[in-house]
Amino acid sequence: MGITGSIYQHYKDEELLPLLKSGGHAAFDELYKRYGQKMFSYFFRMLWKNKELAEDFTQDLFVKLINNADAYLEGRNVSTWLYSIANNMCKNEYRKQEVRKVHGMQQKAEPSTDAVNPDMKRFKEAVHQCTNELPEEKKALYMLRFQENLSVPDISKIMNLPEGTIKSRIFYLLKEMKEKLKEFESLPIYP
Amino acid sequence: MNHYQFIHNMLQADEIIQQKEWHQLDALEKAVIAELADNETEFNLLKKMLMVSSGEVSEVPQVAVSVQEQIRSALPVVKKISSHRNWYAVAAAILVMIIATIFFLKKENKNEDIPFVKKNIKNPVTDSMIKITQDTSILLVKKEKITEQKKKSSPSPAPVFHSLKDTSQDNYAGIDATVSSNMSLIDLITEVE
Repeated sequence: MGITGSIYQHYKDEELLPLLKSGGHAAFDELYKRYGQKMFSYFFRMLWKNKELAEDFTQDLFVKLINNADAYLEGRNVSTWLYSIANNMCKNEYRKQEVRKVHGMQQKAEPSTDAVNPDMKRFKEAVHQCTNELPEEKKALYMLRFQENLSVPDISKIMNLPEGTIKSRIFYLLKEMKEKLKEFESLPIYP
Repeated sequence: MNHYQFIHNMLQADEIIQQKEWHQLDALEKAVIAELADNETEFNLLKKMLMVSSGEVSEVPQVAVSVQEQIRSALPVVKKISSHRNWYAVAAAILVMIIATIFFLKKENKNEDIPFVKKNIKNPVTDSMIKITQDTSILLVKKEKITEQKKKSSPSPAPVFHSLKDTSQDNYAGIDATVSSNMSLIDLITEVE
């Protein structure tokens, strides 16, 4: 594993993709090493912290990637391409599921985040609830910007929206979240 | 601040909130974030929210190893036939070349079966005559002598050499008729076609 990693670790993402089509296991391992956990993390947070569902989606995503490596357009960022596919998969899942019912079930199963500072714990839960209650597109935007730390141009390509629209939506989203979390204004900034 | 600047500054607002503390903001930066947070309390609330959101990344569990293994099983299996096929093509091409070479060589050899006289169409009679000369030591009649002898010779040419007169070569324009009377010599001359 160490030897194969040394072969492809200096390859760009775009150089690894064609190798997948020819069954390059080592090339796949390198690509998975770069994006496997990242995409799982995105699915985990988008899909109501359902670990099994997130793993299934991660698997499906990479299988799609392998089967559609030919569809990759040269010049396009592999990372944004992956997030585009992931975003569309989540969109479809949101349409399938009844979001509020699933959300309700997940709320009960959510593990405790902070046992030391109860106020901080409540605040975290409130933030989590606010983001979960967001419609799919706003939630994706929030996560891509503030959890995946992607730039506006990248988000624009992923969501297929103009950059100005992305900036505008981020602004009004922050404003909306601030209003929902107003009761926590008095909390000290550091727990 | 016009609309474009407003839209542009909206992006910077969240970056300012994430990267700076309230007391670090200058007047311009405060003006930029004014739409979102016009006081320190609101600024800190947004900052806390963004800190919690980015911290949620560390609360995500590790993806199971089995996921990677299952994806690997979906990788296409490429059989190494292509290199064998290339060798087969090369072998087939070599075989065809060998067969073609044999075919053309045989064709050339067939020419050797053609009688000596037929092969050498240009000077069939000359060659024949040289052969006769070599075999029987009969002297060749040169053109000058032939012409002299023609005058002297009988008007009826030997039937065997009739065709010789039709040839374009001068040095065998005609043969002494006296030769033709010797039947044994006539037999030595190969047929000219």
